[in-house]
This record gives sequence, C-alpha cells and structure tokens, in this order.
Amino acid sequence: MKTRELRPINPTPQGVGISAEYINSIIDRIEDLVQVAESQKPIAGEGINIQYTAIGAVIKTG
Amino acid sequence: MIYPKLDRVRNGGKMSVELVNGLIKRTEYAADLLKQYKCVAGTGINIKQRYDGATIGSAGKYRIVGIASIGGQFIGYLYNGSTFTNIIYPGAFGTIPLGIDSQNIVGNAPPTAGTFQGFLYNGSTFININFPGAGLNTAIGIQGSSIVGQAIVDGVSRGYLYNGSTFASIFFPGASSTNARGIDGANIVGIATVSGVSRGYLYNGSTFTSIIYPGASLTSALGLQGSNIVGQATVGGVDIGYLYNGSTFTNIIYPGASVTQAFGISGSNIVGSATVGGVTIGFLYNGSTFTNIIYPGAELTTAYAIN
Repeated sequence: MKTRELRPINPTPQGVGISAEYINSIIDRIEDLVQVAESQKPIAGEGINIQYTAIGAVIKTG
Repeated sequence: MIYPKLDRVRNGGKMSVELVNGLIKRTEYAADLLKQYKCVAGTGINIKQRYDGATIGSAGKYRIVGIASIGGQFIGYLYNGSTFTNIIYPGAFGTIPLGIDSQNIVGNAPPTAGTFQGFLYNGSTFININFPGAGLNTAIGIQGSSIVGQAIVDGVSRGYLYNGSTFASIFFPGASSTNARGIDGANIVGIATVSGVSRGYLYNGSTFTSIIYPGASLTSALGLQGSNIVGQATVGGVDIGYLYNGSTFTNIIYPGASVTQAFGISGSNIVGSATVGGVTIGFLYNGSTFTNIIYPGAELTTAYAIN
C-alpha cells in the first residue's frame, strides 16, 4: 500500500467538515485498495488450472 | 460490479451525495475483487489460509513431527508420509519435537533425565530457547518467528510468547498453571488450571476465552489454525480428541482406542495419538479416515504437529 491508514475525523459544534485534501486522502486510499485487490488475482502457472467462481478462485492441478 | 476509478476533487470541493456513493461503490468493487480472488482448493491442491497470506501446495504433501520410543529412549522424527527422518539434539537425554512451521521445528531436549530445555531446529542447527530464570523450558508451537511454550519459574508454570528476542509471559487470569501450545497469527491456544481443573483457552493478545468441552472434567486446547482448534477432553473418564470450530465440538475418536488425543491441525489434516490395546500409535486424520503413523520398530509413536 502506498497510502497510510486514514485517521478518524472528529465532529465539531458546527458539524462535520471535511477538506478537499482529506477527501482526496480517502480517494487515494480506496484507489490503493483497488490496486492491491487487482494485484491479488491468482494466475495459473504450469500444471495448474484456475476457475474463477462466486466463492473464489478454485485452483486445481492439470 | 466494475465501478470506474474515482477522480480527485479540486481545491474547495465539498463532499456530495454523488461523491459519497462513488466512494462506496468503488470500495465495494475492491471488496468484490478480494472475494473473487480468494484461493479455494480444488483437486490435488492444499491451501492453508494464514494471517500473512495463503500457502498453496500439492495435496498429500505434508510434514509431521513427533516422537518414537525405542528401548525406552525418545527419538524425535520428521515424517513426510513415506519416510521418517530422525531429529536428535546432540548429547541430549532425548529429543521431543512438538511444533513445526515450514523448515523450523521446536520442542524440548532434556540435557539429563527430568529436565527440559527448549529448542528451535532449522534443519541443520539447534538453538536453545530458554525463558530467563526458568527451571524447566519447553518450546511447543511455532509460526514464522513467533514461538510459544511453557516455562516454570519458581515452581509456577507460565505460558510464553517469544518473538526471537523477547519473552512475553502468558498467565490465564486466576490460574495456578498456564502453558501455551499453539499459535496462528495473533491467536494462541493452551491449557490453564483453575481451581485444580484444566481447561483450554484461546488468547488473542488481549482477551482470554475459555474452551471447555461440554460435560468434560478436563479440556485441553493443543493446536489451532484459523478458527479451528484441536485438543483433548476427558468425558466420563474417557479421553477423546475434538475439533472445535468456535461454536461446535466434533469428536475425534480413533476406532477401538481407549485414549485419543488430537495435537495438531493443518487444513483438513489433524494429527494425534491413540492408545489401542495398550499400545500408543500416531495418526493422521483427514476428516473421514485415520492413517496410522508408526515409527519402524518403536514401542510407542506419537504425532504432535503437522505443516
């Protein structure tokens, strides 16, 4: 992950204010998460067969 | 469902319903990907989900450690399903391997009769693992660089977690005796004696949860992987093995055995020992079938851990 863990925000008497900078931190963090998730895709090597199903990537020999 | 990449907001931009929904959908997209890419074992494959990733290997490939008694002398062994390899701490009274993770094996090797000294063996070198000031030491479980075990200091037994440089003591609240037997990620299982009665426990680094087999006079928690814990319970005076998934206990009873103990678990494989007709043998149980593990020529074999 390139980004750091997001810090929680605190309410103020005026309500919750979020700066554009902080919104972009959230966006960057989510895009980082998407990139990590995409990179976790199992790729079949020699002698391995992979089927992508609703319960996950089923890995078999052959 | 694929949701397009989010655009960064300009200076002065505000949070809108549209933007919040975009964040939610993009997050759900990432969650879907992680679910879709979860590795599931198919034919010929064994997958062990760990806190630090998924170990993928060929089904049927495993490594088991245990002990065999030949002429009253304990010999440690490593067994791969076809071949036994001796594990002998040089000069020790006996060698008792109790835990295994990858190439690393932990256990105890008494320098003399009645003593215990913990060790870590990496396949070529033995390193002593001894809690400072302890009279008796046993290293029992290992995962990565974390080792759990038991140390007796001033006559009091404690569990410990050793990270390669520092020992942290583990005391079950109110217990007169505690030991630590198995580790997986932040979770540790072991045995605690409270008011003279032994119980299993699960410790997540901050909270202890008792593991007590219903109706048992004694319960031990001896090994774990993920949410699955194996151990031994004494029910009606009979010792049985069990598998506990966090809500349900399933009995593990070797056919015809007077005593069954389940010591270790890896994926769907469980190892332990069974006493049949007065003879103790090791076993590998895959959830439906028991396979005997008997060291050639031994009068006793026990299987303690599997990886």
